[in-house]
Parts: sequence; structure tokens; C-alpha cells
Amino acid sequence: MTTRRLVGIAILITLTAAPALAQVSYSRLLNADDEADAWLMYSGNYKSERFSRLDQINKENVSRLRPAWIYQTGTTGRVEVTPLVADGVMYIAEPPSTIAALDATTGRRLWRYDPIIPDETLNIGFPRTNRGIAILGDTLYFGTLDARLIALDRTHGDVRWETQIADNAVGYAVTAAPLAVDGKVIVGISGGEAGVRGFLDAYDAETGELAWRWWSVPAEGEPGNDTWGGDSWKTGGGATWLTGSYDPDLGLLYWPIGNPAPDWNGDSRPGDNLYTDSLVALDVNTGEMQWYFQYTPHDVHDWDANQIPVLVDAEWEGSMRKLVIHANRNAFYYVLDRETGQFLRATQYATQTWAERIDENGRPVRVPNMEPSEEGTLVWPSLAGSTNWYSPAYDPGRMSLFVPTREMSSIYFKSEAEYEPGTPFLGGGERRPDADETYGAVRALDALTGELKWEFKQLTPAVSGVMATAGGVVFSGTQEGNLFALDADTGEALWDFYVGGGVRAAPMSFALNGQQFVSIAAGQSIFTFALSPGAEAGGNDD
Amino acid sequence: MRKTGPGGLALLAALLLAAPAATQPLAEASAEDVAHGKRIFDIHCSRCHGLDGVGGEGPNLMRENLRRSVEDDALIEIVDDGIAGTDMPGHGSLNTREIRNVAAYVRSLGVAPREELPGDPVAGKELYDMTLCSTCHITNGEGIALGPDLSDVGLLRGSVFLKESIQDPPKVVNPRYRTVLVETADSRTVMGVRTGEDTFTIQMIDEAGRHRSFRKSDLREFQLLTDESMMMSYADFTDAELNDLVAYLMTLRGPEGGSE
Ligand code: HEC
Ligand code: HEC
Repeated sequence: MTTRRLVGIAILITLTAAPALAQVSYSRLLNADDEADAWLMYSGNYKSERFSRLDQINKENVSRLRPAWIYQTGTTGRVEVTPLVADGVMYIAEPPSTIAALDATTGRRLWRYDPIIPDETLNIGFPRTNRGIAILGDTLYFGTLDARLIALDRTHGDVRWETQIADNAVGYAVTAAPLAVDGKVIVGISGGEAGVRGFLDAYDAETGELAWRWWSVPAEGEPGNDTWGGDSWKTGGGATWLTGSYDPDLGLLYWPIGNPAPDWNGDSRPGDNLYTDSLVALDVNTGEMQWYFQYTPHDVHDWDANQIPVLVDAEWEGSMRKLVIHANRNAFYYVLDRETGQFLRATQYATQTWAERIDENGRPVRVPNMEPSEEGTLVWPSLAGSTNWYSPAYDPGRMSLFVPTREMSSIYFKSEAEYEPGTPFLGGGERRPDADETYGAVRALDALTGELKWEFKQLTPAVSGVMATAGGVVFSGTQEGNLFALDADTGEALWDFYVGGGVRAAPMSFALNGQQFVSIAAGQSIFTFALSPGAEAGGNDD
Repeated sequence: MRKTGPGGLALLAALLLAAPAATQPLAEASAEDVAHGKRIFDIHCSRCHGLDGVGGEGPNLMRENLRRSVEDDALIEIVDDGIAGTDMPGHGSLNTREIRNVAAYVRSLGVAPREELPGDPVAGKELYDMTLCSTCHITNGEGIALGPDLSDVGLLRGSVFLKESIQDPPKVVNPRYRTVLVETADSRTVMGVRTGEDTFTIQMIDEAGRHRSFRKSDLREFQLLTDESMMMSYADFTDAELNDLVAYLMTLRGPEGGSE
């Protein structure tokens, strides 16, 4: 008895005395660049650079990169998460919406939380997966396939609060990582292919109460509603299914907006269909829109704008400007002023046959007869676009944006589209042309001009994100299952490793006890690499 | 109804047993539906199954018993999702009504009269053995798999397509049988059929039927022969010889001899 009591007391003391994991305060998030050992948000920092300030792994030694540990989720779905690392613990999401905490040194699991997703949960137009988590204070925030937002205590994985943000029965879901800002959690939704009406939400981080909601498709009487025919706005799409960026000085969120619904038949929605296929700047406190820029008005190819917008401060025509850069699914690279939304430049970075050019206001001048048709219309790029949600990486020193690129065309078909809640609302689709001339690449673009600096060709169109590092090394993966490292100046391949499953996620990096690690989700596992001690051996990796 | 006791199972079994009779939904298609289905077939299917479904790269669909689609539900599913591991693609761009109507059109095709082939299958078989086609093809379990298994090619392909495959191999080579030519660092050349490839490595079966694997960066040269297939050398058969070969290949209809 006595011993038991003593042990009990000892445990109690340890629990209360054990320093709780350090708080990931808002100021740590603001200064994420100063904390290179950690990876505190989906794209690494609020500018969404996906650039690690760690430089232990560099061009000379990256060939010595070896697996440090592998974590197997044991699931059958796709793992597409970017892990977070804070204070020695890694947080990941497993398909469909399970969160796990791992010891970042060994990969051993500390805890796992499964919100139990009912089998009948709909995922129309995207896989049953979760792409990331937000952290603030000692709480983790993540969305679920059945459209809940859940707050977990990060030490044990206990639920703090849970909010149903929308109805999955009509197609709403959450797959994107939320973004934590000062006291708020911003979260977007998926479901454009089911004809949901898109929105972006902000929740009070403490209580889970809705702070504001911004609808991506304006209602009757609101500005922009006249860019939709009849009632088409009610089923207009405009999903917010990828994490945006944030400028704390301007107090603006930059969120990319999805395609209009139905995807390939625009007959029922004459007009530009605002704010689909746009980038919007929203006041972080109120959700009010400050400006928008629409890349692809009245889209009929499913070229949504759900690609990562990167915030860059640079000299533009003689004076410092706050810019936002965006390699869009529609094959053009854009530079905008992020204070005003003013269009500054568009440069074609991949093969396209749909636009003659982008005019001086940033509006495409369309090539006639490129719409989907009953007989099929051959258009570049393909449905998945010239790039997609796969993160690009921005190297601020080199001023290069590394873009995962797809060279591929599609034959686009159009068919009738009838809206029925909770079913696909598409109006057509694509077929791959017979000739097999597709390929992928990582392309390094000059951030200001969009000019190509180099490309690294891949066998198949890109589906993986990219990370750049202060070591001058760029990491990415392939559909076929390769992970690889490139020279940031030349694009030369320096290292590769076959992981045995498609890489459909983006890499991140962190450090522990002076050692740099690179992690990426691939297949059904998380792979973590570090330099092998073997020092000078180097050279080829086999 | 949510209960899953033995009673529930029996009910389920009864439902399953009753299903075939209950589900031939395509029988209810109207003439208008079938006409709509034909339009879709001409656009999406005829390039493989031939106009009116007579066969080509894809099987003749004017048969009494479609092997894989006896039931209407199976037929609809095949058109919608394709057949995994074969060249029959899914048709995600078609909506539910279009898929039903094109399936109804396939059902309406009826049975084509047996094709009169000009060649002699017995002479064709002799030629097949003599020309060592089996060094690259398997028929009924025999041969080497450098090219496609021909055991049921008579079911899966039309005669015109087969004749062309031998005489004038397709310009667009099936990605599953791409010919690879490599030159190693020590100047050896190896030719074979690609069995695997990623951005950094390539695997193949060489001419001796052996498995090989190379890192691309270790090779002096690496080439996928795009507009040439392993079949190139058969362009000089006489028309009569070709007809005999085709007549023989058309008799290859799988283990049970297939069903017409
Ligand atoms: C790219 C070529 C291609 C296209 C396009 C194509 N098919 Fe097929 N189809 C095939 C091949 C090859 C098979 C044989 C697959 C096997 O059994 O190995 C097949 C099989 C089938 C079968 C099964 C036949 C059986 O014996 O049960 C049906 C039915 C069918 N196709 C219908 C269609 C319809 C309807 C379309 C258009 C909507 C279509 N196919 C388009 C290549 C094609
Ligand atoms: C050196 C290897 C080789 C030899 C010998 C060879 N073939 Fe082929 N054959 C191939 C390859 C590879 C393909 C696939 C080409 C493609 O799909 O583009 C093929 C395709 C075919 C096809 C088309 C099959 C289909 O379903 O698409 C037929 C029919 C065929 N061969 C018949 C023959 C006959 C008859 C002979 C002997 C006269 C022969 N082949 C000898 C390699 C060979």
C-alpha cells in the first residue's frame, strides 16, 4: 500500500513539476525565421517561403543524407501532411483526419488522436486526407474530413474544443492546414466539386467561437453577385482548400480561392464568377475584403487559384515594394502589389494554349474555342494545371521561386451539369491525349521577372511540394517515389532516395541538438533524413 | 433493419440472389437514350472499339456474351471506372446519364455475324512457331514476356488491328512495352523492354530475358525508342502470310476458348 501511495505521489509531483512544453506564442510565430530549429506552421513562416534557415546540410555534403527514422502510419490512405516541429516534438496528420505526436529524435509515437470519421463522410474532388496542423500556445488546431475544427492540447492530445464548421452532407470538408494568428485560427474548406458555396472562417483560438466568416461567392445584393447568372452563386464553388499567407504589419491575410462550379460547363454561370480563381486580401480582424485579383475569369477548366501565395519585399522599379508572387495553375506567374492588389507582371512559365497574353490589367486575352466541348477540346495545361497545391519554395537570398511544374495537356469534355446536394457537380472532365509527351520539373523562376533560371526535369508531372534551404539545397519528390536534392543555383541533382511510394507532400526541415533533419511524407509514412556521420566518404550515394 | 443477426444475413443473401434478375436496368432505355448513347460512343469509344463496336484496339463489343459485363451493373461500372490493369479507361468526364445511355447503346449492338477471315489458321500457327514469335510473346503459358501476352488476343483485339500491329507497329508505342537502349560507362550496349522507370533509375528485361537495373546518371547513353517497337522487323511478311498469322491469332481466345 505504502509503496503504491509513494509512487502515486511521486508521479503527481513529476506531473505538476514537469515543465509543460514551452508555449508556442504568437510572437514565436511572428519570428519563425529566428527559430530555424523549429517548423511552426504549414509553409514555415507567414510569408509562406518554405525556406529553412538551417545550413548544416549543404551542396557539398547532401550526398551523405541517410534515413534517420521512418514512421509508418499503418493507414491505407495518402499521407500528404507537412509536419510541424516544436520543442523536440513532431506533429503530423494521418489520413483521413488523425493527429499524432512523435518524438522528433527517434520517430516514436507519443500519442495519437482519432476524431472518428464516419465511413459515409463525403470527399468529392479530393482524397480522404489531411494536409496539416496549426499550433498556438500549447494547442494544436486541425480540420476534419467531416468539416469540424478541433483544438487539442499538444502535450497529451486531449480535446480542448470542437466546432462543426459546415455540413459534410452537401460536400464541405477540411483538408488544409489552418493558419494560427494572434488569438485566432483561420481555416478554409474543400468541396468546390460538389458545388458548395465557399467561405473562409476565423475562430477564437481560446473558445472555438466563430469570429468572422467571409464568403468567397457574394450573395444577392453584394458587390460581385452580378458576375453570376441567376441563382448560380448559391452553388458557385470557390473553395478555400489551401492555407494562405499573412502580413502582420498590414494586418492582411492572402488567401487563394478555388474554381467556380460546375467545373467544366459554365453555361449556367455567365460572367466572371467572382471571387473564384482569385487571390483575396482580407482584414485579419474583421474578415473584410481589402482587394481581390482574379487570375482566370469565368474559368471552365478547373484552374483554381489554390496555390501558395508567397510574400516578398523587394525593389520594384526603383522603390521598395511589398509584393505577393504566385505561380498559378493556369501556366502564368504573377507579381502583385500586396498593399493594393495592383497587377504588376505576368510571365508564362509552362506550356499553355488558352491565352494569347495577359493584358496590362492582368486579364487574360483568350484564344478562341478553347472551352470544353462535347467532342473534346485539346488544351494545355491539363486539368491538374501547370502547378497545383504542391508548395513552391522561395529563396530570399537568390530571389528564386522554385515551382513544381507539370507539362501536360488534356482533352476537355463538357456535359450537362445538374446540381444535386452532396454529389459531384462537374459538367464534364478530361481525357489524356494518346501521345505520351508529359513530364514534370522543378523550375527556378526569377521572382521579379518570372524568367526561367533553370529546370530539373522529372519523368512524370510534379505532384510534390518543394523546400529550399540556407544550405543552397532544394528538396522535392516525384510521383514515382523519389526524393531528391538539387543545387539551388544550377538545378543539378545532388542526392536522391527511393521511398517506395508516391511523394504527394512538401518537405520541411528542423534541428535537434545541433543536427539538421529533413522530413517528408511519402506513401503511407513519414521519412526523416540526416547526414550520415561517415564524414568525407561522400560522393555518390550508392 | 440495422440489426445484423442471422436473419439479416439471410435477407441479404436473398437480396443478392435476387439481384441479377432485378437489375437489367438498361432494358428500359428509350430509343432516344440509345441514340444519345451512340453519339457518345462515336466520340469516346469508337477510337478503340471501332465504329459500331466491331473491335480494334479494344474488343469487338458485338458479341452475345461480353466476358466481363454480363450484368448491366457490371457494364455500367466498366464504362464508368474502366478495367484496372488493361487499356480500358474510366470515363470520369461522362455523367451518370451519359454512362447509362452509352451502356444501353452497347447492349443494343447485337451480335455481329462471324467474321470471314481470308487466312488459314493452321498455316498461321506454323509461321508463328517458325518465326519465333514466342521469343517475345506468351501463348497459353509458353514463351517469353517481352511483349504482350497473346493468349486471348483474339478476344481482345479486332483482326484489322492485329494485322496492323504486325505489319505496321503503332507509332505510339504502348508505354508498357517501350524499347530501351542503354550504353553503360564501359561501353556495353544493352537493349530491352522497359519494366520500370523513375526520374533516376530504369529497369528492363534484356534480349536474353534477364532483369536489368541501371542508374541513369551511371549511363553514357540512355534512350527510349519512341517510334519503333520490337515488332519493327516484321514489315516484310507477304499479305497471305499476314492473313494466316491473323487467322491464327484470332483463334486465341483464352483458356476456355472464350465465348462468342
Ligand atoms: C483506349 C482504348 C479504349 C477506349 C477509349 C474504350 N475502351 Fe472499352 N475496352 C478497351 C480494352 C482494351 C478492353 C479489354 C479489356 C480486357 O478485358 O482486357 C475494353 C473492354 C471493354 C468492355 C468489356 C468487354 C467485355 O468483354 O466484357 C466494355 C463493355 C467496353 N470496353 C466498353 C467501352 C465503352 C462503352 C467505351 C466508351 C465510353 C470504351 N469501352 C472506351 C479499350 C478501350
Ligand atoms: C523482339 C520481340 C518481339 C518479337 C520477336 C515479336 N513481337 Fe510482337 N510485340 C512485341 C512488343 C514489344 C509488342 C508491343 C508493342 C506495342 O504495344 O507498341 C508486340 C505486339 C504484338 C502484337 C499486338 C498485341 C496487342 O495486343 O497489342 C501482336 C499481334 C504481335 N506482337 C504479334 C507478333 C507475332 C505474330 C510475332 C511473330 C511473327 C511477333 N509478334 C514477334 C515484341 C515482339
